[in-house]
Amino acid sequence: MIAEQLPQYFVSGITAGSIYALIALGFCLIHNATRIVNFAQGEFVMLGALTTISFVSDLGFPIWLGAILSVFIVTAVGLLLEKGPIRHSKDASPLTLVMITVGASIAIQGSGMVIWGKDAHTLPPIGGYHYIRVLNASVIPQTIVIVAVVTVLLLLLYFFFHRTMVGKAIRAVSENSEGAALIGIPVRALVTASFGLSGAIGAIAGILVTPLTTMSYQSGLMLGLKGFAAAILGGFGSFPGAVFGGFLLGLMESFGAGFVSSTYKDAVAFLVLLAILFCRPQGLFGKVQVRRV
Amino acid sequence: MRKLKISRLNAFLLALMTVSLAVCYFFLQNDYIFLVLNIIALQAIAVTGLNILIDATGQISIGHAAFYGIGAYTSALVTVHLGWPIWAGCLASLCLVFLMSIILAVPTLRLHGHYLVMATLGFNIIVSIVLNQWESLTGGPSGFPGIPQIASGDRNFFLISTSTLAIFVTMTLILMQSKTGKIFKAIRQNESAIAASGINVEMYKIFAFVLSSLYAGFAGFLYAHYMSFISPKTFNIFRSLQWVTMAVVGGMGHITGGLIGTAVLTALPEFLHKFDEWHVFFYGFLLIICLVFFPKGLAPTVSSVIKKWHCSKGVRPPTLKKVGGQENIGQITLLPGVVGHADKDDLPLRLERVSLNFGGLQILSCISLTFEPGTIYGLIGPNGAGKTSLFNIITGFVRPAEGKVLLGGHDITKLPPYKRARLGIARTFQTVQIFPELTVFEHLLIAAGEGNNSFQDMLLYFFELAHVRNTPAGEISFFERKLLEIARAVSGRPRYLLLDEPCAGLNEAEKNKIISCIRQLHRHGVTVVLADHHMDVVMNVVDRTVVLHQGRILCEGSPHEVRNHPDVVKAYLGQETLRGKDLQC
Repeated sequence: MIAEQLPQYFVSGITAGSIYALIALGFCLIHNATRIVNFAQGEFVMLGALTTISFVSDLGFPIWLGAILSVFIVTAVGLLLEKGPIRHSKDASPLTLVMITVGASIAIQGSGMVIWGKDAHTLPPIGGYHYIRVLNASVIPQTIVIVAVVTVLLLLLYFFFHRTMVGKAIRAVSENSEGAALIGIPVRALVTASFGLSGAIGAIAGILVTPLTTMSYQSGLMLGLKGFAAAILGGFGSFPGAVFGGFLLGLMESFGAGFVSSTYKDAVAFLVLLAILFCRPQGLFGKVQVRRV
Repeated sequence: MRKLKISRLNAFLLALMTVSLAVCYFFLQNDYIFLVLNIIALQAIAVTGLNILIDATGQISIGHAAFYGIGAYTSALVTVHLGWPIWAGCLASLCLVFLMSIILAVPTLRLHGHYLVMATLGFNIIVSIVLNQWESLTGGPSGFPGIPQIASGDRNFFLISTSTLAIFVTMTLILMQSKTGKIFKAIRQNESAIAASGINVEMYKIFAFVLSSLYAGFAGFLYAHYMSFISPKTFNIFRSLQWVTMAVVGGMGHITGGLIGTAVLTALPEFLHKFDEWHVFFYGFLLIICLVFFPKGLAPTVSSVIKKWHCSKGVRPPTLKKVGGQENIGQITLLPGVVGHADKDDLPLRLERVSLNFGGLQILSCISLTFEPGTIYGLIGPNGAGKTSLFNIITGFVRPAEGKVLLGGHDITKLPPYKRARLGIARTFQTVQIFPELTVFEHLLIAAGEGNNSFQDMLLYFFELAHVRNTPAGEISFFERKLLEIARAVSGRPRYLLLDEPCAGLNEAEKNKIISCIRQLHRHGVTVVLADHHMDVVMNVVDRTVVLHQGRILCEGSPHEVRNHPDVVKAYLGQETLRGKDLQC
């Protein structure tokens, strides 16, 4: 009986996990560039989903065009967040910057409520509702789309960070921004770029997940927090850690919901987070930091 | 003077608030305004607690709404279901909050970095979910009705909420002015230095967190018995974020600022309701504007404007009076025997086969050394020889990979820095580590044990720091900071004083003054270990010299022996020796 359910749990875990992985990557990108936690990350996800919905349902655009346009819009929002308040803050202490992203998160949520109302919206899933059976699991085609897109995206990001000059420069900035500036890397521009990229990744995550879960102006917060938990799980700041943490969190949540209780599904993610913080605070992939005195 | 002024400002603000609240009570009849004021007062208690945490640790909690919730629900449950009296409900709430905050604080505050933020965030979400889902106990999302009220009516409760707030704020202000408050400030400014002064940093941080959670828990208890109906959405993560926002907008760690931030941000949505569905957006937008343009917070901004205004009106800040010239530094004799550690037994400090490596890099290999009491030791060696690492191992900031540190035969290898400082091993740092916002005298007080402060006053004269006694350490000169650091180390009456390059960056005259201080301290029974890479500084003052080179002891002996030792000559001058020929080039 339980064994029959396993493939189903696994599929839903992987699906949710790939979304968390993307959101976690967005957190890591901004954290590595600026050492702050961007609380507006979940809002990027919500914004990406809801603008796509507007393009597709209200303006009648094809879904791919709507998706591309909305990714651009959210990228612009990310860039604006950095170019505006983050850059012009008079005192750049990390806590102040973090609180600015909290303000941005509230403002984006507020405008989301005005534009799209308080109801949840959804997108038609790609491939419709023709369930495919794979090993006892019934799989909706959108799931395959999600996993495929995320896999391609992760490969592209890997290529970007390891094979292109811009990607390498972003990694250099995250390792040591002063050192990067000394060898002529335009640190500020790359920090801006990180915000833009992080917005784009968040938007894609939102567009992908909406057909399965629906999206309202408030959904960003929880998705963002879970992505954050995934990032910590993998060792905050590590890209492979974020991806791994995302998948692990998705799987644990899905199996937790299946075997323990589905009412406490959301709590699983954060119980795991606490357990990790208590037992292995540097995360599964993080390095122990040597403290200088 | 400065300290006094701020507390006068606080007193003025508090008096103003009391008067205006009394006016409210007697002249306002609108219950809705009292409701808003009550909510402000309750939230202000929680925000005040949050400010204690920020002040002590520099970290924030985004889980205080969870403690607010635990406080509210616990008391509601025991009073309604078990029929306990309200005061017992209060006790039960505080006990549970205490327990939960200990569980959260102990594992996370032990660590460096922002783990507390993440843990409190996770905790808050879990508590919200439990409150929503455990319907049989909490009533779920539809809430928990019928909680007995403390006072009937918003206007009557107003007296309770404001007087409670006044008590909490006064208590907090007193705490902040006490030695504990100074230690909180010092921890936030420089954790290494405070550990080296013999303060148990962890314990103070945990204390601050638990205390601040209890503030939130108590506010939650009052909230439940005021509203008589509670529901989970009052206690979600959003509320925690709002409180942090209130603290930041008011001025982080600034108690009265927190009150202002709470009042402004609680009242703001009431005004923004005019904008209908735009009010959430405006709230976020104003928050960003406020943080971008007044990042220090409202209260500090206002007080700096007042200060400027004072200056422009010709009120000058008090000028510093110099007491005596600096030329007789170290010449004032201390009372004999007062400097050294309280118990007079001489305990040798020994290192046994100590090794240290970071990854593949061998920093120290197999160091065995004994420091005999009553001697001045020089620890010399080129940059990177391992001098600072050796100090870090002796003082407990770094654990050796292998080997032991022994004080009078007792193994102290596993003791944390503050315990070693209390055993009488004091140190200074290579780069000066001070607490910029604390005054010079407060530095000495923090490092001192209990008892009267005449010794600390004497130290001020000894180190020629009396003229800057009440000046914040951030405003004194580099040389004075160096002296202050040594004075702070001596303030705890150490057996051993480890000085890490005390003369770096100083001119000849200043160097000589430091050296004369060292001699004086030695005469009063302090064993000094002096690390430096300038031979001339060390050789003139020390009895014994240890030469470190690439993590090993090259040689040990009197300055004269060391100076003529062929290996030392080679390491320092690069002169070829017979054996070294093939190693050159």
